[in-house]
Amino acid sequence: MTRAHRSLHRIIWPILVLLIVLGVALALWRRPPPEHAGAVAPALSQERVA
Amino acid sequence: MSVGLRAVQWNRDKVIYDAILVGGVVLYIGGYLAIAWHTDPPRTQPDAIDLWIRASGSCAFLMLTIILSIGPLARLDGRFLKLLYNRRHFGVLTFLVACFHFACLLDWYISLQALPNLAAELTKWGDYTKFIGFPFKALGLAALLILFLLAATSHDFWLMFLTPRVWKFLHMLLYAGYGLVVMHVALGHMQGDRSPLVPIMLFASFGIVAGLHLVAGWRERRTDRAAEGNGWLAVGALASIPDKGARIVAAPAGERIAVFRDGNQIGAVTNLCAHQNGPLGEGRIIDGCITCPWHGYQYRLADGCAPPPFTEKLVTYRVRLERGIIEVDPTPLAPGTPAAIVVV
Repeated sequence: MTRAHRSLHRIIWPILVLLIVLGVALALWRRPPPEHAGAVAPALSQERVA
Repeated sequence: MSVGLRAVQWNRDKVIYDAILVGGVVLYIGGYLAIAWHTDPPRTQPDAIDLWIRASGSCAFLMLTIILSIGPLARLDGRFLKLLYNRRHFGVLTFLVACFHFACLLDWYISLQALPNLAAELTKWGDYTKFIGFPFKALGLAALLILFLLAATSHDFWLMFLTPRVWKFLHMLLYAGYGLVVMHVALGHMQGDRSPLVPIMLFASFGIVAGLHLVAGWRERRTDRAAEGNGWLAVGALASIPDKGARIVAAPAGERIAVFRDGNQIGAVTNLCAHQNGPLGEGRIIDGCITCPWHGYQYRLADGCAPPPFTEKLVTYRVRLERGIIEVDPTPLAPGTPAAIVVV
């Protein structure tokens, strides 16, 4: 790898780690509660079929 | 090395590598379906298709995780170089599995006679401003497009056409593709599945890949520190360069230089292989030629030229022995210029 590739690597990965960890953590934290998810699922499938 | 265009340059090692890959994919998807069918048999056709979607999707995700781990693993431990050798076939197969995942999704909508709903989901522009409720399938599609671009340009023709430097930058798009896939799962499957398995799998997979890249990048910082000196750079005593091996030095504001020793012959070439910019200095001298650890491209130590009938040439550097210390002039010579010396 060239020096430029290695430099880009060193910039990209910390940014990617920050974005993905925040994104997944937020998606986990804000995920709808089970009873709500259960209520939403049939509605979604009906909507899809309609 | 190639002297003509061939669709795929098969050899025994590649056939074995590919057979293991295909076998692994069949085993994974077959095993997933068998276990899922046994524990919770699907009641309807869409349910059955849904299992195929999950099996192929998780397979593609696992394959991406492995592919992205191979590069840093090979930099940290040479034993993983064997996996790197045919990584492009691994990537193309991952694209095919991802395509199959997408085809299963289309089949699911068709089985419900609801294909227009997919288009409606993807074009519901208001949803793109939400976090939970974001059209996660669009993230998957974007990742699939990246995989397509990389698979389509994976052949050596594109490597030569684009130049290794541009090709490598282009293929670094895979990192973004992986990020898109992680968020595709986090905002899609993970929202409906309360099992802790999905977040654990996401964090563990991404953690392994990111950790390996960060550690490998951190370790390489040392090698990138330019050697001190005005003009000629000190490499070390003759005995400090392993026979049939190399020591790598960094030129000020330049690329790495690989200084090789073959008995009492010393020569310096760029550390970048002409094929895919592989780290030549981590390779060995085999049959009198510097051999790239990635794909086995070979160059003569004396002048950096590939042996006939091949035509690749490397940038070379002047070397000298001063008071028992090997030194290298960081000014690059034209590719293929003889510059090696014999130390008596």
